[in-house]
Amino acid sequence: MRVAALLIALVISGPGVAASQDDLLPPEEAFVVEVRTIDAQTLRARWVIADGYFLYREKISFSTDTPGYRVGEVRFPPGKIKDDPYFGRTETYRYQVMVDVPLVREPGAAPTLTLIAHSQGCADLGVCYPPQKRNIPISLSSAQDVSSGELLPALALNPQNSLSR
Amino acid sequence: MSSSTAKITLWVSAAILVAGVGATSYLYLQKEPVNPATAALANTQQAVNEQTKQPLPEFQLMDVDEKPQSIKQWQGKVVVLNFWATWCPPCRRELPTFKALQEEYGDQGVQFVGVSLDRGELVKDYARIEALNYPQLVGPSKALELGQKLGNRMGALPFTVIVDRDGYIAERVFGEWSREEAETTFKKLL
Repeated sequence: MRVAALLIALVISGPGVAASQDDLLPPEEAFVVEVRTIDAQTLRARWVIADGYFLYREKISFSTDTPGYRVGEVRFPPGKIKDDPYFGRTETYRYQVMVDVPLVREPGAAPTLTLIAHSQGCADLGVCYPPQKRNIPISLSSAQDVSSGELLPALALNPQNSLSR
Repeated sequence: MSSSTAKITLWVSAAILVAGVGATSYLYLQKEPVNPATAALANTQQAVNEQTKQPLPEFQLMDVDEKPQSIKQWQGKVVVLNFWATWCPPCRRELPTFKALQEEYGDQGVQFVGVSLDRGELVKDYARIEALNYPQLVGPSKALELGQKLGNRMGALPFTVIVDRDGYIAERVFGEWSREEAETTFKKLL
C-alpha cells in the first residue's frame, strides 16, 4: 500500500520539471562574467554559464566608452554548432567560455576604464533573456585584478523594475 | 518459515519488483517523447496563475508605424498579449501557431496582440515576411517594463498574458504556449 502510494506520488509529481519562473535563474546568475587583467593591453574575460543555460557566440561582444580606449578584435573559441530552423547555423557556449580582449590604449589615457560586456542567452526550459550589458570597472595598474560585472540590461529600464530578484 | 509463507513472500516481492519496474519505465517514457521545454513549461500553466483576477492595466505602446495604440481598443475580447522578440527562437517558433489561432478564433472574439522588444522597423519587416495577421506593438524598454509589471520578473521570453472579456488577467504563460493549451483556455473564456 505504501509502495503504491509512493509510486502514485512519483507519477503525479512528474519528471521533475520546472513549475514556474521561480525555477529560472535571473540572468546575472545564469551568466556570470569575470574579467582579469593580463597586461596593459590584454584583458581575459570568462563567462561562467549555469547548467541548463547557453549563450550565443555571435551575441557576445565587448566595448568601452572610456575615452582613450578601444577594444580590439576578440577571437572566440569554437562553440557547439546547432542548426536552428529560424536562425540557420548558430554557435552556442555552455558551462564556460574564455576569451582574451585586446585593448588599444591611446598615449596618456588613465589606467582605469570600464569594459562593457554584451551577451544574450537562453535557458533549456524554453525561454530566452533579453540582451544583457554589464559594466566592469578595470584597473590596469594591477595585473591580477578580477572584477565581476555589474548587471545592466541592454535595454533601458525603470530603475525600480530591476531584472534581479 | 513454512513453504506457503515463503511462496507468498516471493510473490509479494515479485509484485513489488514488477510494479517498481513498471513505474520507472512509465516515468522514463514520460520523459522521452516530450520536448523538455514544452514539458517544463506546460506545468507552468497551473503555477503561473498565482495572480489571477487582476485587471489588465491600461497602457499605450507604439505600433510598427510609430502610431500610439491603446489596449482599450480590444476591450470585450479575449486578448492574448504575446511578448516576443526576433532574437528569441522559442518566440519565433510559436508565431505560426498564433497566426493560425487568430485566423480560427478571431470571429469568436479572440484577439492576439504581439508586444515586441525589438525596434518597430524590424518587427514591421518580420511581420510582413511572416504574414502575421494580428497587430504588433513595439518599444524595447517600455515593452520590457510592461512585461515586468504583468509578472515577468526575469524579462525572459516568450511571455504571454491572456485577458478575459471583462479585462481581467486569466493566465500568464512563461515559455511557449501550445495550440492544445490555447484551445483549452479559449474554451473556458469564450
